[in-house]
Amino acid sequence: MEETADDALVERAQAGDANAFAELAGRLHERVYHTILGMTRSPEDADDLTQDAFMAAYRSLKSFRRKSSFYTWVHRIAVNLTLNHLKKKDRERGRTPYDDGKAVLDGPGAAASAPGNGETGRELAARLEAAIGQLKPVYKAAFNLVVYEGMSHARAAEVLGCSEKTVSWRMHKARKMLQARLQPYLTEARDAM
Amino acid sequence: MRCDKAERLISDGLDGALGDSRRERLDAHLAACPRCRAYADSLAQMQTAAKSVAPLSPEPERMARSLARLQAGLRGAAAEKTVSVPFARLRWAPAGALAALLVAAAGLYFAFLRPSPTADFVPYFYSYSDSRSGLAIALAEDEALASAFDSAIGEALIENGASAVLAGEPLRADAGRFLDSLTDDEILLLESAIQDGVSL
Ligand SMILES: [Zn+2]
Repeated sequence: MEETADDALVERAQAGDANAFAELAGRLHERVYHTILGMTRSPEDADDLTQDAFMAAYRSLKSFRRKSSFYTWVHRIAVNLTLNHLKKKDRERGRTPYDDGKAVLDGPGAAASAPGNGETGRELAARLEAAIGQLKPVYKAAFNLVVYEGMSHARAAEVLGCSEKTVSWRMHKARKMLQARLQPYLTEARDAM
Repeated sequence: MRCDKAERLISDGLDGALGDSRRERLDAHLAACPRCRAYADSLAQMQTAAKSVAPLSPEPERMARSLARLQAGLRGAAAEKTVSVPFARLRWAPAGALAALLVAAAGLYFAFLRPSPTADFVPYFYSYSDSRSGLAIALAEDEALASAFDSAIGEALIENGASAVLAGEPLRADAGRFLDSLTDDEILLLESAIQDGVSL
């Protein structure tokens, strides 16, 4: 796709052509913004982190060795920055939101409907969203890239800078935690137990 | 197949990451295990719920503002001409204390998952006040420093019994992740060790 067409621009940018980098940034801006927004759920944070990610990429262009596509590289810087931002935010809040799913999901509406009946898709989606918000950043990132952005494990591994096995493992752990939290709101399978 | 293995395969299956043979083994387990069938069903419900949500889309105006701000930032950076990193470059001077610390820290690192060694080196641009930035940037900038750092990590990993896995594999790409695996206290120790043996 256009990732190949970017090669010449990348070459010019690495040779010091600022306009070439600006052109690349223009092409990738929206996709990078989108990923960050998905992870932070905050347009304000996405604004700042998108800016930081591209500026960081610009400053470290020399360390891009073209083993992955330029897009993947920028994307990975953006995800790293966002992960760090989320970790820091959690530390600042001084809370311990991660309990491997032992806690009952609280917050507005959590107790509003009787558990066990199953819920409409939209209600469940909202609860899922809230539960994802409480996952550790690395799980949140993997879940977001694979489920919401529809990436394969291989692609997510490239963006996250880890192996496919790691992505598979994080997805498994994320789902297990989410399932434990959402259990009261999921429909019992008819043949279970 | 054990249930915990089956749960992992169920997750892989939802992501389209299950080959035929693993799919068959999973199906055989599910046919015999009501507990895992119920688990698979609840994951499928979560998946459907997640997919039913319209993707977050930022307002076009906001996107335009964001892009304009970025282009302005890039013009500013280009104008500065000297794209200097806000950190002095560190010169590597191996110190016994640092080597020992690295050995200990690499034990920790080993407990984390190793990224693909073929990946591009991605400098860990934490926010600039973050204590890791100086190290990460110094490593990205200075080949000699990075290779000394890598070989210290490499030796430590080999001592941890990973020689077969690591033989011949460059560790460059792992420096960022290695830093990420350290606690803040360890980073402080590492930094002061470097400072002690370093001329700026
Ligand atoms: Zn089972």
